Amino acid sequence: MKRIVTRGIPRSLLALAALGAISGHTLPAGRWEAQTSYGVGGQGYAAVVNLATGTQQFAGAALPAEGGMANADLDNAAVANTFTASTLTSITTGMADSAGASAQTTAEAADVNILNGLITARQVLAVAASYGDQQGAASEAGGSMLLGVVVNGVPLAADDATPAPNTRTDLPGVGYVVLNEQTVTGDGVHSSSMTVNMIHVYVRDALTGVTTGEIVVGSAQSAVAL
Amino acid sequence: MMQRTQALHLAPLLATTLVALACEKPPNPAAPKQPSFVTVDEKTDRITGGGKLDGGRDFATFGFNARSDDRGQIEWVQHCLDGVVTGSPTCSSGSFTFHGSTVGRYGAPAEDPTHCRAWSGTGEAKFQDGSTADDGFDVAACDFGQPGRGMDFICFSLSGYLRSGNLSGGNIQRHEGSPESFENACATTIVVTT
Repeated sequence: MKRIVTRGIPRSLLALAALGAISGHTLPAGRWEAQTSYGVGGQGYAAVVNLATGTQQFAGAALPAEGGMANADLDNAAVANTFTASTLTSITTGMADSAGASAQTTAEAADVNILNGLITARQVLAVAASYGDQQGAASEAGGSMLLGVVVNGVPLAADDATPAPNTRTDLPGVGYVVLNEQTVTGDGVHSSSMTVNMIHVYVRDALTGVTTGEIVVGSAQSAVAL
Repeated sequence: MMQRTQALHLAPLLATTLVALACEKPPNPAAPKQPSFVTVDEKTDRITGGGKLDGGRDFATFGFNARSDDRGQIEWVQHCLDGVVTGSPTCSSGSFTFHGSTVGRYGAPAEDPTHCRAWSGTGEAKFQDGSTADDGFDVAACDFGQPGRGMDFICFSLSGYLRSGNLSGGNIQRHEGSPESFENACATTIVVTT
């Protein structure tokens, strides 16, 4: 059996631990002694409505600390005058061993209606995948899709055309929406992570311009640290 | 005196930090986070993966975790955006979600024992009309490298349903071990791409 030896804590984990401390997320102390040099993370939400009145999450799944798989399904979801959807699913899987690490997440919803028809979509699917080994680490969002999207009465060019990453459209009186929002972090050597939010509505105060709420549909996250 | 000067310099920073904390918005669960950390069991052969197969209006999404000690699960979501399509190999029953919570047999298929694993089990399919059905399933999955998109292979089979091909998104990762040989209905569909 190959034995995993951790010679000190990798710089990437130190950086991630520091990030966690800054954001208020601290690692359980015991984990440091048991961990190998590789780590994975994954999380998916079919939808999140985060407004001043509170946060509601639909079909959320988080990868267990020991790796493996987590999933969540929901037939229907509704927030009055804000959001409806059907067939909501999130699946996240991943694991690390001495050879490498891999994590992948899908998050999806159908028949999406946001803010009483301001944005509608037939099918929303976010795919995030991160992987790494001794050669390096990388992430990608391939397979993510938006089908039949209509924004403020204007359909996308083609029924099955997924917009380019980070496509922003203003929503007068509301704020703006970013379609196919992709955020990649990590140094590509010791760490890599991907967050994909297929529909991300930023609700802004009309006077101050401050973001006061968010509606996210199809949110997939994956991460590896080496 | 030196200590007092430092304290004076720190005061604005402390005040800024306190104001920032007081004004902090409720956390957005969809915001990027740092990964959690795992311990590794090197004795057990395992394969994990997730992603998407095919595209357009007839595709599947999935995730799985299967191990040689007969533990694991799989979620398979068949999407038929045009509804039931008579005669279709994948949409003759319309959209459905299958969850397999058992792994009855697991091993390395003869077609490619280096890259692939095959396993079988039982689970429940849930259809769009709300009906459910218990069924046995067969899976074969292959890790041909990274990224998995366009390379890795998966096959999933139920009674009257079989879908296989290279991933259109996601990744499959095989974790080293010494499994026994095992063949199922999916193993024969493996397409070696390396």
